[in-house]
Amino acid sequence: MSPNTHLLSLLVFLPVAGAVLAALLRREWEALQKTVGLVVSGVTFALSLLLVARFRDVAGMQFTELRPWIPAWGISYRVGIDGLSLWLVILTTFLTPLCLLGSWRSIDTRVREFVVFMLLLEAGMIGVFVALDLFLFYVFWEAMLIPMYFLIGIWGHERRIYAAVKFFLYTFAGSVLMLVAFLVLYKTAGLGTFDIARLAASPVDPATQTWLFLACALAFAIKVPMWPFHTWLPDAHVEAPTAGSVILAGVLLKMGGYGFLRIAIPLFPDAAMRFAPLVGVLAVIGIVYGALVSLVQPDLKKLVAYSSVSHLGFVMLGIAAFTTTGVVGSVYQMLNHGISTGALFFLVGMLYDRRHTRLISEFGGLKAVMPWYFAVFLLISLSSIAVPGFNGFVGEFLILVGSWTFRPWLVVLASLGVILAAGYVLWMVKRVFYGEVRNPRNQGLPDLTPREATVLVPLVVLAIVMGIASPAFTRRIEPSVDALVRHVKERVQPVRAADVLPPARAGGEAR
Amino acid sequence: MGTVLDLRPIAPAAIVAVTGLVVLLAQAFTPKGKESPSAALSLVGLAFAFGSVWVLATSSGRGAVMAGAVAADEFSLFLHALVLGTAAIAVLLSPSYLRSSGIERGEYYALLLFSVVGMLGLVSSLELVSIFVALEIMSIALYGMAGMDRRRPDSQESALKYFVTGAFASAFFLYGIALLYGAGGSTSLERLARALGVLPPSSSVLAVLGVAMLLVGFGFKVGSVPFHMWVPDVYEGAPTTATAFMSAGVKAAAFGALLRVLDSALPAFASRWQPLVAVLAGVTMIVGNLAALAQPNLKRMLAYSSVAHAGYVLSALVAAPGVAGEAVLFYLVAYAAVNLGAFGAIAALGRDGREPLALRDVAGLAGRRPALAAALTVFLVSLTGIPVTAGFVGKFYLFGAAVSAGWWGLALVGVIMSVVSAYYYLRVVVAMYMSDPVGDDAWSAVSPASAFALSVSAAVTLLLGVWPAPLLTLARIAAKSLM
Repeated sequence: MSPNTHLLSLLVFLPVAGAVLAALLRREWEALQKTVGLVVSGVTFALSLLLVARFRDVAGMQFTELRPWIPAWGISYRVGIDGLSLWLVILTTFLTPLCLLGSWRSIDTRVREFVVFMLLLEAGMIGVFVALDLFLFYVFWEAMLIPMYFLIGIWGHERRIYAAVKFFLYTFAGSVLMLVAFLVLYKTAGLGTFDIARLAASPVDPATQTWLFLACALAFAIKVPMWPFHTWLPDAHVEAPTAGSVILAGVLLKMGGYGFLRIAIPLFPDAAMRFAPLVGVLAVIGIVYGALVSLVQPDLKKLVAYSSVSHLGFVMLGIAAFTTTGVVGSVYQMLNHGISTGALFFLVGMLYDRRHTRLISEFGGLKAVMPWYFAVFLLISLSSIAVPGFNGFVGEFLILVGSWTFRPWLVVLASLGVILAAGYVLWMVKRVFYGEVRNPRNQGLPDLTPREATVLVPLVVLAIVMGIASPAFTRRIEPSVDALVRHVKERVQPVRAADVLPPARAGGEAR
Repeated sequence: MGTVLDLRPIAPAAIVAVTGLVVLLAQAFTPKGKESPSAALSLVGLAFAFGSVWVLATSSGRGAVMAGAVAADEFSLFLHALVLGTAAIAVLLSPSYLRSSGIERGEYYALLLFSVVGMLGLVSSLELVSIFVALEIMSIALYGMAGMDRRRPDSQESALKYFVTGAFASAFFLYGIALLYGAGGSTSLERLARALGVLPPSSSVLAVLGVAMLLVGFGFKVGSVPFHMWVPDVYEGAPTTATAFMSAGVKAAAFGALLRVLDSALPAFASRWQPLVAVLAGVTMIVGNLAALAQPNLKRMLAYSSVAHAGYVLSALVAAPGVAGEAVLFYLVAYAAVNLGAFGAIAALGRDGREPLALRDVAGLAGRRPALAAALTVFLVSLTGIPVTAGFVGKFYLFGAAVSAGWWGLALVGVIMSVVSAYYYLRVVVAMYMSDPVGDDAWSAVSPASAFALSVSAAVTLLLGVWPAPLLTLARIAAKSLM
């Protein structure tokens, strides 16, 4: 038994243990509670780097662990990662300590609960990315809702309760249908197992797939969120405390895209390919819509929130195209979005801590007042609008190239989103940072503190490294994506000949 | 087959009955001004009964006795353990609550124990008349418990309403037995099954009517729509600890008996009653949840929620005979732990005859009673059916059973209604954690016994959510003994 066997379980359960420890501390020991949170999540991150070090660039699951859990139903505790999930796990373990550090000052009430919920959330998120059993996946997927609900509801802004309940009901409604789909799949497949790989190896008949795919796709589309299921997002992102927004944007949204790649598409390949054009169209609507709405937001946090709708549209476009290039781009773009939007939420939160407002019109000329803050903000903005040399460019480029064979006109429309993104981000930067300092309250705002800089520097560095040295990341992603794409296309091939799909599809996998 | 004098299978019920008498006598002989140790005596009796269940479970030769009317098969032992555990938790919760409401009387414990006797009989009877007698023993004791708080008009109303509707249900039940006897020529479940299997079509109308009447009777007892009207009033009016016991114990016993009747006596008619049960299930889930949505009073909300949960259980019963058994048994355990906890948490805060019944009463509770608020959150999350709680695993099995019997539409209704339920359960969590407290802290500190009982309930809720396999195995063995 190699030490690799238990690594993933360790990553999942270390934060749980930390949460229990923090819960047992006395209420008054706030600094100790924060320290426990930071140390535990830091150690988790350090351990997760072992994954990167020991990861082999091949398709197939690694670091797997299997234990029977509920044998009567063929449910097991089965975990493992491949190229799709590796970096998402790292993203989770990377952002959590930053969030705890970033909230060191801004969270001053019920610190113990905050640390407990953050650690439980981390465990849940890692669990979602490593679960290879549908039941286990669902358990993590749902269990994670509770800490997020509390994070928004307790430490959020004015309309926090509304946002928390809306977030919860929206995502819960989506996921319960997925649960029924899993049950129907279990029965129809008749394999007596919830093992994703075995179920994917012999998909059910295409007619049943349609309904099951739609049920799962709804759950994932709400999470992504795809237009028109995005309406919970602006409320949740804006009302959440900074750490909540960062985790929401950085990791939670990725679960939607990941769910498509890990579950909806491989389990229901025929249906997925049939609905791909629809997903593509919705994705592009999301790109353009999100960008247009961002353009007119008077509130910084709302602007960033809506920009997520646009960015995630790109991710979904790459997934809909389902070429190796497109999907690699999507996975990469999920990471990029986690870093750049996570950083933007941190930056907006830091500004809010100083001025207690997020209205763009309240600011202006901050460049002179907070030069370091401005520098970081600008770099992250460039990453967000996908300027070459930054990470965003690699992701969006791969997606657009990979989608060309799918539907060229969708790519053309999506490119519009790239231009609009430059518009709304740069216009916002101009209004906040350039010009004269007209508002006297902005005079003498303190620049980044060392703690804040510690939070932001790793994000900036990653944004640049991932822009320059992208092959170091993509070579781990590609084998798994390639295997997935081939697996699905092989399944669908015979059906497609008899199907009445438009001819545009024929060149779909030329790569 | 034991002899008529082999009384081992009814040992648990006999022990509990004797304990009930002892509790009554002890009170009579307690000198004035001194407190009778009713709760302690009850716990000792329940522990002995539990011990006898254990002995029965590990010994052989526990077939049907008393002319084939009662058996201590795995099914009945499983539910024996559940009912006894439920009663023990309810007894632990009671002393502080009764003291705070000024109704500290030994009869309360005696009635509780007598109704346990009825529940034990209900789940171990193999014969319709015995089932009926057990049902009455259970119910009559509960009518008394509901009206225990004589000075409160709503407690009296609760008892009267429960009594009248209960009598109504009994009449249906009895009529159903009569019709089935007319069709099958026996009240023994086993002989009935054989007779109904070869029934000429001419008498099948009689049997179908009989089955329908039985379902109405059971429908009343488990509180399924449209026979649920008494539930909110009775649950609200009864002393809260009695409500906790009622909601968990009656459901366990009545669903146990229903499952046994459906599985052992009526498999031949499955195609007739399955659609009936399915309709009941669907309507119960929808009405229960929608009605709960509109309740500002916590006890009424939990009452409607228990109606809704009866619907979830019914939705699995359409898979009877077959996979329903284990799913239902598992769920009854999960539900008992959670409901005892939820009502128990309200009862534990009771002070001077008042308890937290409105949302504003629990506002900011997380700051004042962090452990209790956390426990109540666990119970509410479990009622919603979210991992990692017993409620999620339970619902998963129930809906899994429905889907495996081909009724995936019921599962769909069930999960959609779970989303509706999330709204009203979470409202309480919002009040406790996200609202500021209203006024001074008017509630009592949690007594050690209540704290212990609530901790056990919360621990069971979480444990079954994380590690359900052992209990599921037991439930499966128990369900198999019905076949």
